[in-house]
Amino acid sequence: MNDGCCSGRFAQLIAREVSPLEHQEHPGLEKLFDLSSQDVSSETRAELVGHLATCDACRGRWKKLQSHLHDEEAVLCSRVRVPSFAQYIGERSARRRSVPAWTRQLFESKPYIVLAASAATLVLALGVSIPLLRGPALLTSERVAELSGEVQQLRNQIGSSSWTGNTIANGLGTSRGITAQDLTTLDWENPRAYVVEAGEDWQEIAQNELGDERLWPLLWLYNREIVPADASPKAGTTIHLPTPYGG
Amino acid sequence: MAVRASLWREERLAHWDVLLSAGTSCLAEVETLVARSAREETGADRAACVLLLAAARLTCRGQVRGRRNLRAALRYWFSHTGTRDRPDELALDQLEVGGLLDFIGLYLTWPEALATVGVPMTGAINYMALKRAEQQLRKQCAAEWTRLFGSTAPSTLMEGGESFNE
Repeated sequence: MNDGCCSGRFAQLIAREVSPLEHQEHPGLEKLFDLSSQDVSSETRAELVGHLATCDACRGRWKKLQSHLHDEEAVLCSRVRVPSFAQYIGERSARRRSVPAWTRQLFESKPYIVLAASAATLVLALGVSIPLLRGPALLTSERVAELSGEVQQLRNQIGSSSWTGNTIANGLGTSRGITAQDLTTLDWENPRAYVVEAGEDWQEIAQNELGDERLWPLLWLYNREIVPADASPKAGTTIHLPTPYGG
Repeated sequence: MAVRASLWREERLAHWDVLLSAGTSCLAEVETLVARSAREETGADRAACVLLLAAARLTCRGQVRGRRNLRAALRYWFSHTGTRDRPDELALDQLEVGGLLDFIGLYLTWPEALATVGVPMTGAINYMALKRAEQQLRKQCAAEWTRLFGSTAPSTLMEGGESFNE
């Protein structure tokens, strides 16, 4: 028997039954859609089937529509379905029943396995949770010690002078680019007297006497009780200057 | 006359559709249609009327296996009509309730046709089932012809191989 070919009397008769006919009218897309969705009366269906079976063009359109609808249905079916309330309750109670029953059964059959597993779980839980709980506290104390060390180091750099310490603390020195190193080369606790010469201002005095013009604000601040804040030092005025160490 | 013949053909196709999809048809309606049209029809159309009536009668009686094989045979023959339009992956299980339009152009193999009626495609191919369905149908056609026209069925219907067109 040749399976690929439909020979025989019935096959011929059937082939003739679906041979194309000349149709005056063709069904619209709406009707084809109704046929695909089985939303037609048996009479309309009979008419449409008779037409489509004998009209290649309309059958092609219908098949294309079927294909589109099938794809659309597949997309819709692939989305997650929300279970009904009854389903949800049923599944929940089944879960509730199943877990204790399973553990009880295991405990009854192999208690040592359950005990060993419980102990291992406990050890693991403690091993993970304790370092996690202690971790932040240890880090904080380490950070505090580190900061304390930095503070001490700064103190050592500034030296024992409370005046320089205050100056640094006020930010005057840092705002003018004066470092602690610049200040510690001078003894601010044991000032020396200096008589201002004519035409001298704070910058010149700082440059000539201290070797660094940048230090003039400190001089002005150092002598704020002698020279008014809004005035330059007058010639003949005796002001205080820090003494260079070893100088 | 030609228009009426076309309309009858379309009516017959609607019955074939029911027969292929449901596995049975309303015999009374088919009998009415055939009684109305068969005497006016000629040649191949008359033979087609008889074939439809015979198939409708057989699907209403007999053993389940025989009815199933006949349905598979009809699907097989109808699938070998029209322009070939077969998808790459054929979902045979979805064709179980397929109608006439679903089968036209599919060009099923006989095992595939059997699979559409629930016979799994395993083991040896049962071509005898097709042969038996054909014999059963031929016998029924002869009986229906005699009942309708009072004469023996023409060799074109019983023997095959010749053109039905007159």
